Amino acid sequence: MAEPKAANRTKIRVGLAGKTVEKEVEVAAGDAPPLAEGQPRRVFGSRRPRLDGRFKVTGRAVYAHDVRREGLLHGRILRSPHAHARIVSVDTSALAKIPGVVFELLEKKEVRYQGDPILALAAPSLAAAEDALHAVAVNYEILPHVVDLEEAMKDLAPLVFEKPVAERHTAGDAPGGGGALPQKGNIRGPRASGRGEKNLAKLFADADGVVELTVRTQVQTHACMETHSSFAEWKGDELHVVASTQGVFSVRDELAEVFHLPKDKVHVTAAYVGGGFGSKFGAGDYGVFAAKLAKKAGRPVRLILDRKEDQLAAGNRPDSLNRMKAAYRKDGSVTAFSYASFGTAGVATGAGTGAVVKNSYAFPNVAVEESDVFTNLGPGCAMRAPGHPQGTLAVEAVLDEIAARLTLDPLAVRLANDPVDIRRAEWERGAREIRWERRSALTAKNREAAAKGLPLRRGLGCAASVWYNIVSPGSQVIVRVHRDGSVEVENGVQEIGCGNPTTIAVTVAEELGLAPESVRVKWGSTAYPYGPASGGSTTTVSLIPAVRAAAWNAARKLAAIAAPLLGAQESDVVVGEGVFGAGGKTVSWKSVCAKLPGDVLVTTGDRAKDYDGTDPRLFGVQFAEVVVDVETGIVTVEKVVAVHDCGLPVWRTGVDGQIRGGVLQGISYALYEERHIDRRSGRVLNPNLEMYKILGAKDAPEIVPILIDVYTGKNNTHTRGIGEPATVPTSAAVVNAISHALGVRITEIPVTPARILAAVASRRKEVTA
Amino acid sequence: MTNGSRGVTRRGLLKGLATTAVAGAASGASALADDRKRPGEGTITVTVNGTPRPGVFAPRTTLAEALRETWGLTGTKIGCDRGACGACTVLLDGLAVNSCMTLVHDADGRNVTTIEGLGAPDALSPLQRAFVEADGMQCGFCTPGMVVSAEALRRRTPDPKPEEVRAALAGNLCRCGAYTGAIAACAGDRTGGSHG
Repeated sequence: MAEPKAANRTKIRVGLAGKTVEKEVEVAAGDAPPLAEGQPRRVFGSRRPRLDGRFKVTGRAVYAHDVRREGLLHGRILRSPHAHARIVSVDTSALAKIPGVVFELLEKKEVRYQGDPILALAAPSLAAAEDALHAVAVNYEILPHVVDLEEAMKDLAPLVFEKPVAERHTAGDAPGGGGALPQKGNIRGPRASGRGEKNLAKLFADADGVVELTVRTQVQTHACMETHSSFAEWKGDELHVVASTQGVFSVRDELAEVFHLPKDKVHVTAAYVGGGFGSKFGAGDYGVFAAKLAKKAGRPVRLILDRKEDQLAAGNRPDSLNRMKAAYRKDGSVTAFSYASFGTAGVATGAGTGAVVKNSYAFPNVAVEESDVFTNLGPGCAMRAPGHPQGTLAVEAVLDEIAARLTLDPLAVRLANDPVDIRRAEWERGAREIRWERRSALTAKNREAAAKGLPLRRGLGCAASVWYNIVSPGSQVIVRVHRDGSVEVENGVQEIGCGNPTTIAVTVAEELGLAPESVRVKWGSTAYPYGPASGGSTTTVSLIPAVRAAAWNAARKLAAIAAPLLGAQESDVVVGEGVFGAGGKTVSWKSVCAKLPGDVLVTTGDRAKDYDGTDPRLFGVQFAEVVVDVETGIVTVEKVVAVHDCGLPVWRTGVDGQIRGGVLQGISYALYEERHIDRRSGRVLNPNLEMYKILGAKDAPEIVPILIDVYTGKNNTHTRGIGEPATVPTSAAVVNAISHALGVRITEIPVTPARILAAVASRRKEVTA
Repeated sequence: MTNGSRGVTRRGLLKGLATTAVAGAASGASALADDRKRPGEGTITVTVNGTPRPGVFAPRTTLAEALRETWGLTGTKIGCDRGACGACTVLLDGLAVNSCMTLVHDADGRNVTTIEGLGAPDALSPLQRAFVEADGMQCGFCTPGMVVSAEALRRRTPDPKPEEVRAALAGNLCRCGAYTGAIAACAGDRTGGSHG
């Protein structure tokens, strides 16, 4: 083995493409040199169809739901129908009479939400499993419940937990959090943070103006099209699992721990996963159940949550109540911002929304207090940019209110608080695309329409995005080049829709001078080297630099073989399309591969540590144009312009798709999605997809994704993520556009027709008063 | 259709009722004619992608379940099992139906086309190719249903208007939000989605 070489200090250019500046960075030994501005690229950063698309459009992509085996048992979970109850007894005696049924009873004395699991069983058919569930008799003693955020905050509210609750963290969560916090009644917190002055009172007293605003957001469920599911099969003392997961390695680690197995005896695969959005990081109780039942039965078990269970118990984005007070100067710049948030993740924690007010704009003095409130509802968990859509909706409403009070353009107020050059370029680009200069004329037209009694109003709104460059360390990649010239690349990362098979192939193809279609990617299994979880916008940034390093190492080895054929020095050999070249001569890829000394060339690549320096934030801005019918209350989003940066995009089609998807989820959140709960029984009335409304094809507006390329100077491909930032500002931009259309500040989502009509009525009252 | 015997659950009954409505709409009077086997009586035969598939099924078995569990055609997905998401869409005698809301007994003697019947990874149908080229998907779970709905539209309306495309896909939920690509693919615009 070669001696480890020292890292190289290299000068590179970083910043906005076209406006880069020189910077010295430390590149780890063995890592590929960072891509340079102006360096021609054939396929890296291109638009092209996703490589696994042909399996998806033909139904040949196999998901956890689709796993079939001889002798398969079907798992089901018995869940509490009550919001809060003591379990007096569980009678499972009838199960003994049903052939082929195995079950696993949880040691549990109390259920705290509708959907809280009690027992899991497996039977030879779905119908038999369903019937077996009905054969179990549970005797409950109903306890008082609370299912409403503000009710749960009251002093005499029923207690969800008698004892303090610790916080869990997953790969999709925003950084920070954890640690001990006070817990009083159902309120855990506050967690205090901030920057600048500790005491804001003087700043509020000295301000040109002060805005106070309360903004509320509702719970949103992930509603992945593939419900949570797991297949488990024991072969001897080894566990084989096919999981619907955002992280095969985290599922493996968790199951290894549960079953006291070494990691090499737990095998998890997830080639295709039907969405996750933050809700599929761990093995899940369903995953543990499937493995336990399979062990008991000595047969494979597949456990698929039905849609009702999925909506009740498989995670959600917590709701929020954000109380804000901001002091500002006449130019719209904020001098102090006080922010208190409360939110319920049901029986879980993690409802904080305060990151945005600290990180999105350059407010000099910020005081944040975040509290979790427990309710008797299914646990919240990470959901695409945890806390950020909520916090953005809140902060951006305040900025629009400041603009309204100062009769300033809302965009001018943003710019007065936003010194970041990338973001400023994005504001400028987006404003041009949406034609923001129409805004004041639209205001006048809306007043005219109101005076004439016409129903339609048109509004424009904008909001900023913020997220973070988060790298999950440890990714490794193997590249194999065979003597016939074929290429394989291995990494365990799962495919949940982000397009990892395509980004991996594109990166390898760029380095080796090949077509991405000719690179065989092997993914979605713990049998391959470690890959990151898919979440938190960490996947591409954690993985792609390692992919490039592995391919770069292969290219260097092959260049050494090509050099004598070209009569050139190894260092002069360059990779072209299907060739190696030097001094005007070329040799073909195949002829070089044929000269490999062994049967196959194997190289590896590691994810080197990020280079130092540069802002760790990801930015972005979005602009929305809406039409509101004040007679029906119906909002039509006509257009969303989404300007984002994600370093250098690896595969532009995929980035566009992430942006479009993030925008649509944001619109769906702003306008349609709402969990309805019967307060008396504590039951969710719409745990389904017919009454829990998510956006459909008819509701999708024109979306214009625009990417600003940035040489981040953090890794060898300048890669960053995009999944979270794409959804952070959408709901805020849409709501601000609606407020503009109506001339009334909307402070609660979803903005249903009823809320629109109420807002219109409130304005009428104001005008007549 | 359902006979109130021990095996019939409330959910099964609801499904049966809803299926009657779907089948009635799809095939008119024939669904009401009493010339087919009653549920639970002997073997039924469903022609799936051109191949006759015999089987014996419990009355409550849905077409989706039969396709996936008995015949191994797992390209048809079950997202909600309640007719709300469209992931299970198949063609029943050429019309798009939710196979989770269709009892397999109601497909007896009829033709079913699933996603597997439209093309294969190395032999994509023109519409499947259009979905790939316009990137009308992300995770891909809703995609088979989406493609089948689009296929049903294109068979009856070869050159659909944009509003017809959106209406045809309105019953297919996509949580990733890949609608714009899917709409472009279904409309025959191969570059109007993510490549635009």
